[in-house]
Parts: sequence; C-alpha cells; structure tokens
Amino acid sequence: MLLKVIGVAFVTVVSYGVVKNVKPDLSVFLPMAAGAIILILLSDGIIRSIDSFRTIIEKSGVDERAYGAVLKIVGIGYITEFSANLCEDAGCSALAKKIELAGKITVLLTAMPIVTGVIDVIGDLM
Amino acid sequence: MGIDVIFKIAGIGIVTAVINNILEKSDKKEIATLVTLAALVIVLSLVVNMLGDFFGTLKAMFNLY
Repeated sequence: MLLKVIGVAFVTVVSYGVVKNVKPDLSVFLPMAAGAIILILLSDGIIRSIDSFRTIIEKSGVDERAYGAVLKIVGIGYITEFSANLCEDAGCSALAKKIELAGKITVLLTAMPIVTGVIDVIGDLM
Repeated sequence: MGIDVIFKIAGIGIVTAVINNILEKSDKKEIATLVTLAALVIVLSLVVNMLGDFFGTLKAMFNLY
C-alpha cells in the first residue's frame, strides 16, 4: 500500500512538472487529484485502525461519545491540513491560514461538549 | 480510480497547449482563450467530482457532521 502511494506521488510530481510549464493554470488540479487518490488508497488501512481503536475503547469502558468526538477531531484535522497545504502549494498561503483558523474553530466547537461534561463531573465530585 | 485521472488532466493540459499554439499561429487569439477556458472547465468538473467522492469517504470514515 505504501509503495502504491509513493508511486502515485512520483507520477503526480512528474506530470505536475510537465503541465506546469506547458499549461500553468491547469497545474493546480494535479495535487488535488493526487491527494484524493492517495486517501482512497489509504482508506482501508484507516478504517482498520479505527475499528481496532474502537474495540480497545469498548474494552476500557470509556463512554462512546468521547471516542466519537476524538475521531471527529482527527477527521477535521486531516481535512483542514489537506486543504491548507493544497492552498499553500497553489501559492496563496493567506488562504491556507484562513482554512487553518476555520479548522481550529471547528475542533473547538466539537470538543466543547466533552470539556463541559468533564467540568460537570468534577463539579459533582466537589 | 487511480492514476488515470492524473494522466487525463496532464493530457488535457498538453492538448490545450498544442491547440493554443496552432490557433495563435493562425492568429485566432480569441478562440485560443476559449479553448483554454473549455479545458479549465473540463478539468474542474473532473476534479470537483473526485473531491466530492473524497470528502464523502472522509465523512463516512470519521463520521463527521
């Protein structure tokens, strides 16, 4: 699987070089397509690791909501990092910073219920 | 779903460049810009479809929103 990803990456770099000096305005789409292909190649690995984490979580008795929130935050982090790097490659790094800001805010919103839950538990203990 | 999409995009880029050169030689500049626009639209729809599937798989995997 790793070799397949490396192969796709090399092919994209070569074709990016070719398209860049032949047709600069189409060269933005190549990294996007490569990112999508690489994720689809990795998707079964990611699914397997998520399932193994889920079995560990069930054994340890932590409630499902926390794990769901953690998973969501990981997903948001990945999407934000993917599109931020894409915008940086395309040359507009200001836009990348905006996307990172949006990602941080979304993560904060997703994590807020968990934090309030923990604070309530601590409050009850007092 | 594989590298063929990348080759398709590269091929469209090269073909558009060649067509543009030909059109510029026969001094039809305005058609050349239209060809570039058409190529951009084709590649855009191709990539947007792929990104749609990509975000769909991500959403399913991490059960976001």
